[in-house]
Amino acid sequence: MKKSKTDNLDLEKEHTLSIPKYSSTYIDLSSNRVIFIAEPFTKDLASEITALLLHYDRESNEDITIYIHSDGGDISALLNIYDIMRLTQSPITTVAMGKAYSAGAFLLMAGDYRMAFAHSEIMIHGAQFFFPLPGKEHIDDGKDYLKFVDRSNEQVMRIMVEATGKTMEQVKEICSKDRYLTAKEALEYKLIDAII
Amino acid sequence: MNIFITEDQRIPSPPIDIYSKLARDRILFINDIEEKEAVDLVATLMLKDLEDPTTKITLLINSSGGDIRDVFMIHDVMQALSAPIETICVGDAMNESVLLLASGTKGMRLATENAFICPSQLSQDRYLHSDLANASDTLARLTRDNDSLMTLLSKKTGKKKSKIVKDFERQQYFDVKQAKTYGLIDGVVQ
Repeated sequence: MKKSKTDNLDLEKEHTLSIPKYSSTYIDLSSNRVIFIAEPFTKDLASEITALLLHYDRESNEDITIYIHSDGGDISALLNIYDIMRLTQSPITTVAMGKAYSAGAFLLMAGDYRMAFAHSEIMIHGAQFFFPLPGKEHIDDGKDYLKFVDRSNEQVMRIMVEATGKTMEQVKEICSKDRYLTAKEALEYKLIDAII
Repeated sequence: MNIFITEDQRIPSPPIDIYSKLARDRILFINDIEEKEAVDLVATLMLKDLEDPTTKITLLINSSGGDIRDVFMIHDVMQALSAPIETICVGDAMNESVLLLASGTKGMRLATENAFICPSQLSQDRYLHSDLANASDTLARLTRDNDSLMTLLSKKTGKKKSKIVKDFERQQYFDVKQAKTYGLIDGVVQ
């Protein structure tokens, strides 16, 4: 008795799952060459964005727009998207909508033309990491990992050096703690070119 | 709950969800505002504006607010669109979502008869997750966000900012008539 009941429930679940709200919006929007980033940066997201960028770039060389509303995330995901952005022929416009934190902010400043909405907030900081590494107890493992994080940090800082024209020391000084900027302040830091 | 429908049983077509179906008639919904839903809404707004920049878009609001960054994002996009936006409050609009109700096109901000509109100053708990060293930064950000919220509300209602700040120090519970007198909405749906 019990078993059949749960079976039914499972069936129902399968039928009601999937199809999120406004599912057709992104399909209809795809002809306009826009990408929305509305979640933390993960490897999955990076692959999705890579696929979209490559697809749009093969279609034509018109402008691509990336809208960002994100808390940031993985450095590897950021560098993945950044490298693909550099490889595409089409000019890329990046727009900060509500918030562009951490990796989102670095993606924002990497665009060919960078914009932010008037009430958006942008946060920049250096690379962060979790220290106790599970499964790696030797002190040399820790040192190696620290070096690796430092190298990734260097790469991320280079994005900002290129975007702002500041020196590496200045950029590292700015990113030494969490810096929350309004759109106006971001314009002064040359992280963006215009406010909408 | 996800409701989805197939349009014509004779012609096989992929099912679409009920919200996409209504979005075709330019009717969108704002419920409790979360990151992903907010961006979906913004994307849909942009799409509707691209499709036809002259016909009005209707926003049905029944919300108890949400993250201020999401709300500012929706507000900024609403201002950037050229299509007129009609906002209708059904049920209640509380805290931050009052801004979205009030930022519809002038003359098109409506509420149903039994709706409640409950504005207040910014109340956010996400900022409290911070250590003591960053506490002053955090407080400054919170104050700044609250300040822009109050400025925007004073612009939308045509009242002085100092009055808005004083009035909304505690949560207000306006019915439709009071909200209309205060300038948050322009009329009642009959």
